[in-house]
Amino acid sequence: MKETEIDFSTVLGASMHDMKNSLCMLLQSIDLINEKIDHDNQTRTELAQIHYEIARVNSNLLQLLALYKNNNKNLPLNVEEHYIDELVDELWAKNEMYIDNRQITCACEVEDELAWFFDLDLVSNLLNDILVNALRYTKSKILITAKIVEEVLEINIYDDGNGYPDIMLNSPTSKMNTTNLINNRTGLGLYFANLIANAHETNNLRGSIELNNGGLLGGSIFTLKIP
Amino acid sequence: MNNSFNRYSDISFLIIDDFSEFRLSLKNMVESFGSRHVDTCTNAEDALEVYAEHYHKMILVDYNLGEGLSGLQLLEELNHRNLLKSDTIFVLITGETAMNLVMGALEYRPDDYLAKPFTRNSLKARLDKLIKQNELLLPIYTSLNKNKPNQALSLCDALPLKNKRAAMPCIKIKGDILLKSGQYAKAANIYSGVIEHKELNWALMGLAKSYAGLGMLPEVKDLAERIICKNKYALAAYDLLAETCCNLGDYEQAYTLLKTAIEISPNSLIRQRQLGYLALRYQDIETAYATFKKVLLLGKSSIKILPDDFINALQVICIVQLGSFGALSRRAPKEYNVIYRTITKTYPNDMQLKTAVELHQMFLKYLSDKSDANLVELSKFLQNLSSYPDKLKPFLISEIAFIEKHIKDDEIKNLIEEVIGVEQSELFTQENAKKSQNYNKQGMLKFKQKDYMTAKNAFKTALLNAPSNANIALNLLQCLYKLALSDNQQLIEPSILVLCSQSLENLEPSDHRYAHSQNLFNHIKAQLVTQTGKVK
Repeated sequence: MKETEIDFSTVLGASMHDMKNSLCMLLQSIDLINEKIDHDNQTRTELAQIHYEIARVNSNLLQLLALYKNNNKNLPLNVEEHYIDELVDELWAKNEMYIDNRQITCACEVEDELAWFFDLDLVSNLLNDILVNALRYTKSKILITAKIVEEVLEINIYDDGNGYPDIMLNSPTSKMNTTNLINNRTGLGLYFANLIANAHETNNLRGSIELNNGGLLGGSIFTLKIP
Repeated sequence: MNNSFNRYSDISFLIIDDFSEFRLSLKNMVESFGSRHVDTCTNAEDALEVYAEHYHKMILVDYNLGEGLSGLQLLEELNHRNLLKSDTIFVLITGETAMNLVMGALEYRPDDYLAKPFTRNSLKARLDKLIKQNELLLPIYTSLNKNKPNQALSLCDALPLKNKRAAMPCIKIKGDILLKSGQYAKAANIYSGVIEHKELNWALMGLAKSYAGLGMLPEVKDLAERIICKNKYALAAYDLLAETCCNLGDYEQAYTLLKTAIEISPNSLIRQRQLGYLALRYQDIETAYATFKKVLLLGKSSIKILPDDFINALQVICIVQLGSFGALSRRAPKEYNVIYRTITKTYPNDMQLKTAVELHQMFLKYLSDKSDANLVELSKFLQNLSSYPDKLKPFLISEIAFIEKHIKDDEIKNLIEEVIGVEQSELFTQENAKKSQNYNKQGMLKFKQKDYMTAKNAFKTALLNAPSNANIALNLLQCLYKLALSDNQQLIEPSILVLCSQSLENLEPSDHRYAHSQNLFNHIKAQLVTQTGKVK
């Protein structure tokens, strides 16, 4: 490569790194402020909102990078055995401030000692993105369930909000089209989720995602399946 | 809540990050968890010292530490210097960008990766999990710290019966212990069992290493290719595949592989060195030149550098100078002086190295005018070498051979053959991969039949035909060990041990064979000492 040519991935990488550092500092400062100051309800709500928005920026960054890697046919998985209860614990912990502030009841039903093989970072990011979205649209409750159905791990995230709009239920998540992206902000998130699910493969079976309404809490249901 | 508070109060932390705000913020967090002992460092070099003093329970290190060693290289150095206690929890913090490289690291794996950014809560959730797992495996770590691998192995079988969550980590540890003690068939069994269930990269890598130990080279090749196909950043797989290709005599593929691996990560001294040798083999002088220069650069902050590297660099510069590489040919000779100075500074007491450098300088002097006077001086110097009190070291022999190759004078050529002599010429043997593989197989068969004497001779021939094949060297060592145990210790010529140690010199300390070979050397030495003691 000639030295004058600017390598896109290097620039992307460097600026990602920088943005990550900033986000990290922001998140930690907010944690600290939240603990140190005796604040009224409004401040607390504002803080939780800042925290929430930072989490969104972060998950957008992660998605961009994953998409970029996928474009370069280069999304290697770091598959290991992970226990699902630990995964869910981490999800709650990531969003604790927002959950407390909005007083959302969170529950999870996971089979005892349930473990499965997947890339923890990618799947955790995927689920966190969906959870962040569910927290925004739910009225009061979130439920996460996990079980094995016919040799496939199935994780569901339920809420008691208004459910997904029809346009989302009807469009296949694997094809990202422009209208989808413009009309609802989660288009990219779902495309990303589908990508990660799909990258998990066992015995010629590939992972997938599903969107439905109704279910246990009457709101939206997000389903992730990993073979 | 109270419980977990107590848990952290006894846990000491070492935090390493070059970014001061982040370092401080991380320190605040773990202190808020209850830890009463938190040390911080800005770079890996300081961290090595601080850790050696306190042996912290938990190390949190950023991958990117600016100049100097990276977080992953800190883990390497800790292992390399045999400092890292097995019950220390090592967590690598990364920005997303470094993730690929980190994931490619199958050799030294941190206990966990933490992707930035994280909140206090998510950090706590992750650390809680790690500490719980650590407590679960503590008995095994204790046995390993006491250097009792067999006790650790039986604990690996026992612990998962009590707690299912110990199962996978126990399998990993077990495989590792078996590889490091050369029990390849058993290790292969363990890894195959995992793969049957799920094709995990570390298990594929473990199986490939076990097969390499068992001499099943085509299988090693398949497995390593599969790993690279799944993760093109799996550097350890490139190294193993390149080594296997060399052992099979396919140097061309090895060369291509190493070039790719170096593109991914240029900072491994040993990989650069191997690339340099292959570049020379293919007369790719410009690559060899750049590579050996890089080796010297990396050697500044690594204890992996060898005197041989300096001699190689001197020789490559000479080739560049003699060849027609335009400006490079004119520029290269200017680097001699810096290298001479570094050699004197780094190895002030290595007489043979000093001799090799003098020889090189004398040769250059002769090349400059090709005068008879200089030729006489050179041959006198060479003549003196034949009465050298010690056995000549490989780099000195390499320098003599280099001169023989590049000088046109027949008398000198004959003289050199005399100097090197019959005994030393063993180190000169032509590489013949096929012949070597055949003898290796024959040796393994005889070894199985416990005919160690025949096995030894077969392995020796195999090694002479493939002097850089570490697997064969290990087989030979294993055989020597068996002979040392019996009454046949007189069959162990010191020259064979030297041959073995030269072949094994290039192993990374992370390599399972490193520990294994060190053990064998020590056992053999101990055995020889007691035997001679008895005679006296």
